[in-house]
Amino acid sequence: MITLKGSKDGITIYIEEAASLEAAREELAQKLGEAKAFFRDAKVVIRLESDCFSAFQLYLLQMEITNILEGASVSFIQSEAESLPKETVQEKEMATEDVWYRGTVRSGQVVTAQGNLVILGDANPGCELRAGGSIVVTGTARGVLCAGIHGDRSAVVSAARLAPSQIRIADVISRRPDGEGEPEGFRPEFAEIREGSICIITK
Amino acid sequence: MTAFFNRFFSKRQSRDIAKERLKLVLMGDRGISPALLERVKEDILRVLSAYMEIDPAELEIKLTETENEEQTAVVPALVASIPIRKTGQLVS
Amino acid sequence: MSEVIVVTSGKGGVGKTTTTANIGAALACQKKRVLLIDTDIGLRNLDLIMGLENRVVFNLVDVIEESCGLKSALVRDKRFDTLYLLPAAQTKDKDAVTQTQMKQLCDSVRESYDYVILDCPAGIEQGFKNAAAGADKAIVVTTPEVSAVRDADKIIGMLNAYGVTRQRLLVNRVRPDMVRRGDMINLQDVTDILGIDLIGVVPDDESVIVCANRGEPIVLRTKSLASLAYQNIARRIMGEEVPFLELGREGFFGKLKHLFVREGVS
Repeated sequence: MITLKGSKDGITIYIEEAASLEAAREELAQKLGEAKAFFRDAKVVIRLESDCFSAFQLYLLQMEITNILEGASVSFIQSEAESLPKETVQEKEMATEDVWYRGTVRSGQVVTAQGNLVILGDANPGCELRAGGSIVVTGTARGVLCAGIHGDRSAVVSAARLAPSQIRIADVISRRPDGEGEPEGFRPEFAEIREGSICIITK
Repeated sequence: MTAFFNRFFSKRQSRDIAKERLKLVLMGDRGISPALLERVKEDILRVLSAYMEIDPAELEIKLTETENEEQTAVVPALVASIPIRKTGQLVS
Repeated sequence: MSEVIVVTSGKGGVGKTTTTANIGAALACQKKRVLLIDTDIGLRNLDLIMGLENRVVFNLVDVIEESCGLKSALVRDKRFDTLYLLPAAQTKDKDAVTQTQMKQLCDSVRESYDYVILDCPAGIEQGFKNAAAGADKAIVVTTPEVSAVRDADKIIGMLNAYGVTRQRLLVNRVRPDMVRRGDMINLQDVTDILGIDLIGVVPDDESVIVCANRGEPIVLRTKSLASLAYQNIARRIMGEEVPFLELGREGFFGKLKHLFVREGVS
């Protein structure tokens, strides 16, 4: 009924069908109790796969978790509210940790992937995309695009319309030249490191 | 044409109305100013220090609103949070 | 000799960021060494107004968390060699920085500049408190509107409580035509009500928006009235006595030829 998954960003607690609030609390206490030390101060996201709890019951659950894990910050996500289909959510947790993100990434948002990062949508100015591997944006890519964040210089950045304020690949940074406008229309391009600096190549 | 005459005869200028309204509302706002609160804070510290040890940096005092006992009106309230470091004399 | 000045207002949208950028540019015009710090973490905009958004690599939070050195986070202005920007983080929230850290940062940079100007976020929460904690002086920005004046009053009180008692008032977006008609609170009214000294008055000027669109400082547009206003403010900050622009003090049927400006003591 309750599954725990840890990632670099914190823990996700999946709550599927629940027989009762009591049962859920007991199971949580038991499962979290075992891993208490490990999860201390963690960021906890509770992902509800059903809507069997009322707001008040959720509050009780949240208190329960906060009590067990001192210092943890707990938040809830109702799975329907997320546009990600269930499979891609689990894909996020997989060993390769490639991330598929559906929707617009807006100013101030950071989307991080340990592996490759695919954005099915646009990346707006002021956002940051970070990937251990390469980045692909199916729409317009603005903002700051960081590929190969762990030092992979072979990573590339690609978009249907490449108009970022900066591209960083591994330790190389390049920014858009002053006064240069955005490319008109969609024209797939990719950026990679050639002879030590970032080049943009039109296919 | 009416608008033209209004300006001269009946309507007060919006600037004057603005000024009056501002003066009134600021009188309310300034009731207890942050500067006054700082003074209150200092006095509370001074009085309490005779009995217990308090870290001045931890002392928090603010003005909020609360309902009166009959729950008929909202009245201002002074809320103080004063963490005590050591009680010293107070206990013995 | 160096000063840390916070530009604040309480109310949003009165022009703090534009003011910070242009006062910075005007001071740099006078060959002063200036550092502008955007303390509006999570809603950074000073880089955009200055046209430096593509050059931002590290930010205030990176410096405070020591993930990079101060030097590598500073962005030098395109036009003025002595003007630098320390941008805010866009992807963090306001609680990423504490008052103590902000104060330490300001103290550590002040020796290298003549003026350090902090662009403060709107509101009276953490972001405001951080900026106020680091500052010696304040420029309180308001517009001649009841809501902005009320919020300015609140901020003046809070600055006093924080010990930033050296405050000057900047009245932004004054419309001379409305002042003349009696449909705008005038300078005298604002200073009467708020009871702090004026550092300047900036007319509502289209070129402010045009310059922001282009990411250019207005100070370089010599023909604009707002440009003159900012340059005067910079000179007053440097301690010069400069008469205030006189905006809309003509009486009824005022001489049309004086529709725009007259320099003189107000």
